[in-house]
Amino acid sequence: MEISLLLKIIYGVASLLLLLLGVTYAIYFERKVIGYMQVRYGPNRVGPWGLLQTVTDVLKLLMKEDIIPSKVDRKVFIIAPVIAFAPSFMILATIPWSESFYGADLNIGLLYFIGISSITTIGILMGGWSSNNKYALLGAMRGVAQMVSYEIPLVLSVIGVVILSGSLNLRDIVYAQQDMGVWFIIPQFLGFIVYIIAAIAELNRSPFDLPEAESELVAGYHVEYSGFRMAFFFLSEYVYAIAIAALATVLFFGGWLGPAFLPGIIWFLFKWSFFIFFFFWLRATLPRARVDQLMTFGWKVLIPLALVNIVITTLVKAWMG
Amino acid sequence: MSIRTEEMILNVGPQHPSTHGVFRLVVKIDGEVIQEATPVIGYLHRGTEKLAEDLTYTQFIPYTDRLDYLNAMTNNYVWCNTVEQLMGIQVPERAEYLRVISMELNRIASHFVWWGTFLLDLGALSPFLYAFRDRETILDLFVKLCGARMTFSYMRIGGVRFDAPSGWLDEVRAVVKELRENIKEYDVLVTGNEIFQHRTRGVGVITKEQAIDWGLSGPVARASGVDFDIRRNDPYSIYDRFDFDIPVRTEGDVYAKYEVRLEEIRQSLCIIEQALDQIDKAESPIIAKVPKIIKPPAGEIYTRAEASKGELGVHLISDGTTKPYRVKLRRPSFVNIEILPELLKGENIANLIAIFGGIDVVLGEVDA
Amino acid sequence: MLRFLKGFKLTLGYFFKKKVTIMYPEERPVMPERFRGIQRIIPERCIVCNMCVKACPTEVITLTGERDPETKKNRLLTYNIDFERCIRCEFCTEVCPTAAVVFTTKYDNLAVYDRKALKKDMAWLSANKIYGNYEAEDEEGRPAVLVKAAADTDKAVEKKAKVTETNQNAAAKATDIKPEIDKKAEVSVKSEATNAKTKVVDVNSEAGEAGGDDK
Repeated sequence: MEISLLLKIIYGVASLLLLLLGVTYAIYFERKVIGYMQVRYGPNRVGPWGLLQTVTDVLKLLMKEDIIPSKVDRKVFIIAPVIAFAPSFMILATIPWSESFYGADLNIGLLYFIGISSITTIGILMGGWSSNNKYALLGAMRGVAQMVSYEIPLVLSVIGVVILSGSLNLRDIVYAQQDMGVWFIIPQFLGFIVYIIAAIAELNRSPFDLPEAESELVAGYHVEYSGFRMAFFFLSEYVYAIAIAALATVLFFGGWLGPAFLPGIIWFLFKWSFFIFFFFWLRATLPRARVDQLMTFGWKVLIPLALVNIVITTLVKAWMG
Repeated sequence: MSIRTEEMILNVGPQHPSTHGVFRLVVKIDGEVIQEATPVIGYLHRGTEKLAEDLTYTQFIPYTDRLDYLNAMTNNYVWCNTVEQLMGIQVPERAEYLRVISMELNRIASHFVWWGTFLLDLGALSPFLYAFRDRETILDLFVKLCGARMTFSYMRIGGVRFDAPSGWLDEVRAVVKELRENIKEYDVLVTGNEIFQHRTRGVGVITKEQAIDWGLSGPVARASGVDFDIRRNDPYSIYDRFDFDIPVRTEGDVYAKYEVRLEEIRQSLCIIEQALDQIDKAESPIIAKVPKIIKPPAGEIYTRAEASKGELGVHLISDGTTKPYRVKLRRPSFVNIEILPELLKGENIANLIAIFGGIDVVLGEVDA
Repeated sequence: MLRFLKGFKLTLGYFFKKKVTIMYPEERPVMPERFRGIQRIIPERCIVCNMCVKACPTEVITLTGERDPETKKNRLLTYNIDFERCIRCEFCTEVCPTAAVVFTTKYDNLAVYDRKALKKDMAWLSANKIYGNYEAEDEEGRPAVLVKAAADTDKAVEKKAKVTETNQNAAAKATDIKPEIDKKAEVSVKSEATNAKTKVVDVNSEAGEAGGDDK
């Protein structure tokens, strides 16, 4: 009994470390890709081709003094980064990276994913509120408004996929794509578009990165955090990016499916990396939307589109029997 | 039960990534709507006008460089022109052509910086790099001409310091061609972008009456329909020999200012090409016969020029000695920034950044 | 509606194009000849006329000299430039009648740990050999930059003289532009101090700030 518990703990710690490695190199690749698009090289001094840049950044953050301003709400201030980060790690458990490589096979995997990811919003609100700083408060308010508003289109956009595959279990969704012979992006193209836009808004990435609009609010809700606590917020943002890209791969691009000459996980990572590149590409190209335009767009454009998608899917499914 | 709400005072403080210098704006906001905005300036005040009373006329030239440091050639020019007009010195032709070429190149460089930083404020990261890459080609030209990249001190009273080195004029021609191509990319990347248009159209509208009442000048006024450009209405130097258009728009919003400035870059490229064609006929010294000690006659004079931000003027009072009695600099950013409190009433905070970026302020000029 | 998609093609194009970064310090940018770098003093040529002291807008140059009793010429004893305040306007090199103060293309040897070390003295300043895209000095010991700049201006002067040969005024102006152009002088001696050659040179006793602590 203890051995299997010990094994489970080791698996958990190992997957956490693997995840941190993934985040480290996701950050490195973001800087390189955006640098290349801006006619410059990204980091290229620390280690060969700059590969150790993020490692040294994280080490630097670990070695900084832990400053807690005196007038903050201490308990909330300290807990906020943890609440922001923990859900992002939890939702990775349900993603099926390949046919045999998955964390937990939940029958309500998709619901679990979307439900747990909303807890991060509380973490952000706690961080912004407890900082006792007007900029942080403004950033947190904007962030919460944005994240709550865009969860609705996010959920609505994946309902089409659920209808087509008949299950909330992520592995069953991939099997349904295998049975149908076509990846869900083709019948669910409208849903895919809505999903991508809602996902970028959920992740607080450009062009919807108002809560941390550097040039307007000087880092928004994490302005009073320094050292490793700030690293937690960044970490949670990148882990979410990885998770949302992985979910998009599973739902719309067929997960691990692909011709048999490469193992499933390689196909998964290949498709997933396209999404990640797309996120970086968006950040390098587009300016930021304004907060009221963002809200208008989410409520008045995305939700109707997602509803239309659901109606069409239902009609098609009923007609096809 | 009613909830008590309060207005919040927010300091868009001296240290801020988008205020283009050390500028503080004390903003009273109610939710996200600005009730009142009070600018606080003076963080970069260096006492230039007072220092001028203790420096000779030539020694003041490096100080004029540092007013609007992005547009140093025009600052040099206005000062030298003022003293020359007071003393009645006639500047030789070749010097005038060199002055015009460097001033227009500098106007283009200044507009590039504006474009890059304005879009950086709006959240687009890449245009900043593209704009600075193009600006580097211009600064390389300047370094070959006069030895410095930003604080040139190129002009002297009576002419310019150096003649163009051999091959420089051909390089300018090549750079002009290259920049014409690169500017088309700016339109592709930004001008047609829907997100950008939604953020700038209809935002921060300045009416024509407001522009005239508040004394605005430069692209800010021309975007509101005020058809006035000193290079055409009150020509100085040899601008009357060139054929160029003045872009004017009537909407007065931030998008109109954007269009006016991009069009000005294209027109400046035209002026430089015409000057390059005409300069070969101008064989003359690059500096006039000026006495060794510059002592203008006692009197006062005001001259002005069209800087990239607006009307830059120098009012000089001389008492006949080697040092000026009083120098007053009419700086365009200082005057343009005065409309900010009026313009910001009732706006969002997100619009604040767009409006402030559209006015194109350089704090070196506001504070002198 | 979808015009913003064109921007994506542009940034993706730049992903594959050549980058403009210069890998400093392995590759260094080549500075042109007129680059206003750090000054260099050639003490043998200095005649202690104090024009550089008077021309400097920020008053950073201090020097002392003495009159050599045998040769009856002035000799430079100390020469200090305070680089905390020097604004690199190079007026000092412009007005020097004997090209004793020249500008080099050196720009990177001023980093120090202590502010006092920024007051550089004659020994440091005369060691600033020209650095960059040319290194040699000519046979008379003049730094190469002056030869080229003087040659450029000589060419311009000749062209001008040929074109306006018939116009005596213009020719007169051309020769007047460089009063007493002796082979060693820099271009366009235009200063508002009095003429060096005719003035009796006084020994400058502003030696209070001969800050010798450096390095």
